[in-house]
Order: sequence, then structure tokens, then C-alpha cells
Amino acid sequence: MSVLHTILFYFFSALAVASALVMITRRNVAHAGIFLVTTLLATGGIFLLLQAEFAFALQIFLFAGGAVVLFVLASSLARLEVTRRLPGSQRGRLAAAALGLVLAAQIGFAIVVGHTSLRLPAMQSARAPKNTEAVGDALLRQFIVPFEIASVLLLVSMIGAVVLARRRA
Amino acid sequence: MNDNPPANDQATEPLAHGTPPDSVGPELPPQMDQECGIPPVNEKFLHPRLRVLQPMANTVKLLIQPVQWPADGTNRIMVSIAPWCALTIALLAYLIVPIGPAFQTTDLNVGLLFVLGISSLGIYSVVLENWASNQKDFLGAALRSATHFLSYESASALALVSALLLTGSLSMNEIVQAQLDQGQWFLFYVPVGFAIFFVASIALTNRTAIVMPGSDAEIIDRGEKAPLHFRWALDSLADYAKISVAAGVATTVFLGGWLRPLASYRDRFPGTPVQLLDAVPGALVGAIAIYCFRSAQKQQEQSRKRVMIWACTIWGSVALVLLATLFAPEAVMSGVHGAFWFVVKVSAYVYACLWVRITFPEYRSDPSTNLGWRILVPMAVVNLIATALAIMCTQYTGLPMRLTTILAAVATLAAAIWLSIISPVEPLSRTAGGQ
Amino acid sequence: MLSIEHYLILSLVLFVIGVAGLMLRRNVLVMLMSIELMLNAVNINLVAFSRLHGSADGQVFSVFIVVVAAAEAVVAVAITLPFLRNRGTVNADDLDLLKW
Repeated sequence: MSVLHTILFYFFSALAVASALVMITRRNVAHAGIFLVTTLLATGGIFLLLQAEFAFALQIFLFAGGAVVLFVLASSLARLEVTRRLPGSQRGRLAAAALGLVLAAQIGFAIVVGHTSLRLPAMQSARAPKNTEAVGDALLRQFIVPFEIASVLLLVSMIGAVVLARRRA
Repeated sequence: MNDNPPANDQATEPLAHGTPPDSVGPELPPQMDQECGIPPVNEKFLHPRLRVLQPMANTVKLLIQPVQWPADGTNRIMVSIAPWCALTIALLAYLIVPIGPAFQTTDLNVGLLFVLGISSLGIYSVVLENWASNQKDFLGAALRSATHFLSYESASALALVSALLLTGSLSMNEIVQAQLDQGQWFLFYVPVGFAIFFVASIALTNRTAIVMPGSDAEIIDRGEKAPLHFRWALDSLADYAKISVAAGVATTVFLGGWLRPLASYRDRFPGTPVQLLDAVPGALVGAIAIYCFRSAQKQQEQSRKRVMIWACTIWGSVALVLLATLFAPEAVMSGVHGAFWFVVKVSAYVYACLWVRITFPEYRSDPSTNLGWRILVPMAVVNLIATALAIMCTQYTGLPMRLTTILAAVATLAAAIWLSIISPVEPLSRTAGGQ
Repeated sequence: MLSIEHYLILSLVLFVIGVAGLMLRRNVLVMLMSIELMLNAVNINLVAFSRLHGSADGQVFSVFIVVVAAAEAVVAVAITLPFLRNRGTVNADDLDLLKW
């Protein structure tokens, strides 16, 4: 059973990393959006492996089915640039690569130093308290104030988006 | 055979029944055959006894049609992938719909949310295919389609949530179990929610049969030179599969899933372990078989007589199975009968959807989105609040649930009437189209 | 066989790819997508830790991150749309109205 988990983990993570790499190198913005969808779906698979079903459902519903739809539809209004190579100077690219490596080294160092060899607990049985119930319980009891503030945030962002994108008559 | 396709067959026998060029979809254009060089399947050349295979022959011809791309600059990869995406999305959602008590592929904790999320990915296939086909008006049509889809998705999700208030769980199996425990389909507790979901599901799968000139569907259909090929078949199939998914979700949440009507009425035949109402399916199907037999005797033509006898055999065997499983172990009986009731309900829902589709022409996109955002979404929100208040009322005052939910429904309908007065929806205009 | 480090390293790799995308690409919409990718990577991290400690707090936080990401995507696209209408381009190098 854990062999299956390992295989699935490597499959989903390979898919996610490959899609992410392809996504940032596409010239066509809509193609980049589509590869972002595949990355998010692969990440959803990782959430399912961690038995976080609510996070998986939210990922597909909100991220892949909401935010990226927004990007793809917005990119239909943008004039798609067709350039031969990725824009940006050589020096800029070297700087970006160096910065990325430094960041990776820092976080990797933190992971290695904090190595605890803690195994993830075994998969929960189906009769355990369900994931959605636990998350919903925590959301509406402990985290009720952030929950309400998040709804206010959504309202404000909706109003702001409508105001900002309005045509000035 | 050309009637409403049985909903469950969409997944098992897709291409034979799912893309009927005869009854519900567009007709074969006469000049198509000269363009592709494959000889037509002419009825006169088939032996009369084989004529019943005509739709299958058409389907095979559809599959072996040489590939044609819509325009010159089409992105072939995207245009080919998009119908597969649509089909995958529609079929994935059937993973969690419970067809019987133990007859479910997987029971996700968040089943309903999963189905809604997967359906919301359906926008991509529409937008991708039309955008990648590099034709003049298609991008606008695709965006309008996407907007239309989004506006009805919120309404349908809110309508489903108002039924979820009566259970504590998003898992589809638990929803059906709650309907069994409460002894009543949720249709009778939230009728307005069901109506909103029905309207939203018709609008979400929005290829109508009567296409007004200049509308989006006509633009999209006109652009293809020889539109009947495998990609079109996949698109068509995905279309019908989406209706099927909406029917499956509506059946599970509102119509009681695999429960028989009056599921908590458990009187038995005296002396046997057979419940009274469980004999109804067998008796009903047996009555249909007897009707087929008698109608076979009245037919004049030999071929029609043969068809009716064949139909009688099929119905008769189904009736025998239903009656025989009454005496089988509990698991087998509940599985078979559950599947039967599920198929009946899904078929009824699909029939109603197709009926509405065939009757009405297509709305122009702005009255349609007006209906979605300005009427259905507020109505669904009011319905949600009213149902929550009704449940609280029942818990605190002890009034029967039916009374309080009827009051909630009346309140929602009053809100709907007020909304439609303040934001009128124009019906079809003469120049329905992508203006 | 899977330990927490597997998930952490996956999250790290996705985060670094997102950072690289943010720095390398000049198209505003692709930069926004890279930001979404980074938020996604953080989500993996949070959910992995929540599973490790057996509490729901990490998943609750990831819910909030998804909500905030969606809201921010909406506002960012709403900001770029007038630019599109007026300037006709979404290259970040061309958005230089505030430069001296």
C-alpha cells in the first residue's frame, strides 16, 4: 500500500514540476494558463495523497476552476506576443538564476538541518472523524474571526474589481 | 430506439446511442459525402432486415471520417485535446454518484464539492476549442459561452447547498442516507431549490436544438466545412454526458438517489420478507412487457411486429430480474432495485431536460445572463436563508418540517416574483444573435 | 516510506520555479500565474505539516490562502485591464507611468 503511495507521489510531483517548468516558458499566455491548470490538478492529487480531501476539492473548484479561468479569459483580451526568445536580457536571466539557486539552497539547508526523520502517520481509517468535518469545525469555532474577515475581503475585492475595470464613460 | 437515450448507457455504449444524428442532433448535410470521398450509407442498398443497423452504420462512418481542421491557423493539438477534456470531465463526475447502496465507485468525503469543481472545469474545453480554431467570430462566441456558464454555475451551487442544510455532509452516500432517515426526498423540502437547479442545469448544457440565426451556436456550427467527424462526435457525447451528470447529481441530492418512493414505508406481505412496495417495480415493468406483447399482436408489418416482440422480451426479462431478486439476499435486492430506481429518476430528468431543449429556441446571451445573475442567484440565496430559518424553526418550536419548509418556499417565490418585476427578462427578439 | 521531507522538497521546487517565473517573464499575466504557483507550493507545505501533526490548522490556513489568492487574482486582473485598453500591451516593462 505504501508502495502505491510512493509511486503516486512521484507521479504527481513529476507532473507538477514538469507542468510548472513548461508553464513559465510558454510564449503564449493561454498555453501557460493551461499548464497552470495541470500543475494545480497534480497538486490536488498530492492533497488527496495526504488525505486532505477538502483542500483537494477547494483546489479544483477555486484555483483551477476559478482563478485560472480568470487568467485564461483575461489573456484572450491581451494581444499575444510572438517573440522568438524569452524576453529579458542575458544579465537579468543570470541574476534570476542565481537568486533562485540561493533561495533553493537556503530553504534546502533549513530542511536538511531540521531533519527529524518523522514519518507521516499511517493513513487514517475510513471511520475516523472526517476531514471536512474537522476543517469545518476548526473554521467555524477557532477561526471564526478570520473566516468573517475573509468574506469581507472577498466582498471588497469584488467591488474593487468592478470599479477598477469599469469603462470611464 | 430513437427515443430518449437511457442515461446510464452514456458511459458504457457511448458512440452507439450517444450521438444520434437522427432524432435530437442536426441532420446529415447532403453535400457532405461528395466532399470526403467515402460512399454514403444509403438505405436502399441495405437489406431490409439490416435497416435497423442504420444508426450504427452512420456512427461507424462518423468515426472513420477523414480529419478536417476548421481553419488554416488552427492549433491542432488544442483543438484535438479539448473534446477529450470535456468528455473526461463529464465522465469523472460519475465516479462518486451512488447508483445503489453499495454501488458506488468511491465515496469521497467531499463528493458534491468534487462534482461541482470538476464541472466548473468544463469551461476550458469550450473556450480552448473555439479559440484555438482561429476563426473570426469564434473567440467572442466562446467567451460569451464561458460567461453564460459561469453565471449559472453559482446559482446551481447555491441551490445544492440549500438541500445540503438538511444533511450534515457533502458525501453523496450520506445525502441519500439522510433522505432515507428523514423519510422524505429533499425535493419536497426544498422544491424551489430543485427548480433553480433544473433551470441552471438546462442552461449549463446549452446547445439547444432550435438555433436562431446569428446566435452563437449557429456561428460555431456554420464554421465547420464538414462538421460530422470524430471531434464533433466527442463534443456531442460530452454534451449529453454533462446532462447525465447533472441528472445524477440532481437525483442524488433532490430525488432520493436509489431510494424508492415512500422508502420508509416498510409493510411487508404477510408471511414473507418481501416489502409491499418493492413489488411495484416488477409489476410495472411486467405491465410494460404485457403491453408490448399485445401491441405486437396488433401490428400489421412483419418488421414492426418483430421489434415489438424484441422489446417485450427485454422488458420481460427486466421484470423477471426485478421480481426474482425480491427473494434474493438483502444486498442483491437492494442493489438491483436501487439501480432500477436510480435509472428511472435519471431518465426522467434527462427526458425533461431534452424536452425543454427541443421546445425552446436559444436565448440571446444578455437575457440569459440576466436570468442567471439577477434572478436565479438572489433567489437561490433567499432560498438558502429561508431553508435555514425553516430548519431552525423546526428544531426550536417543534412545528413539522413540511410546514416550515413550505413557508420557506413561499417566501422564496415571493422574492422571485419581486425580482422579476424589478429586472425584467426580455424573451427572444427578432434579431437574436451575438450582438 | 514517504516522509515529510518529500513533500517539503516538492514544495520547495515548485516555489523556486514560481520565483523564477516571476523574475524571468515580463508578461503581467504570466507573472500573476507564477504568484499563484508560489501560493500553491506554500499550500502543499501547510497541508503536509497539518497531516504530520494531526491538526486541522494547516488546512484551515490553506483555505484562507486559496481565498486570498482568488481575491488577489481578481484585483490584479482588474488593474491590468485598463492598461490593456489604453496601452494595448501587458508587458511589465511598458508599465512605467510612475517612473521618473
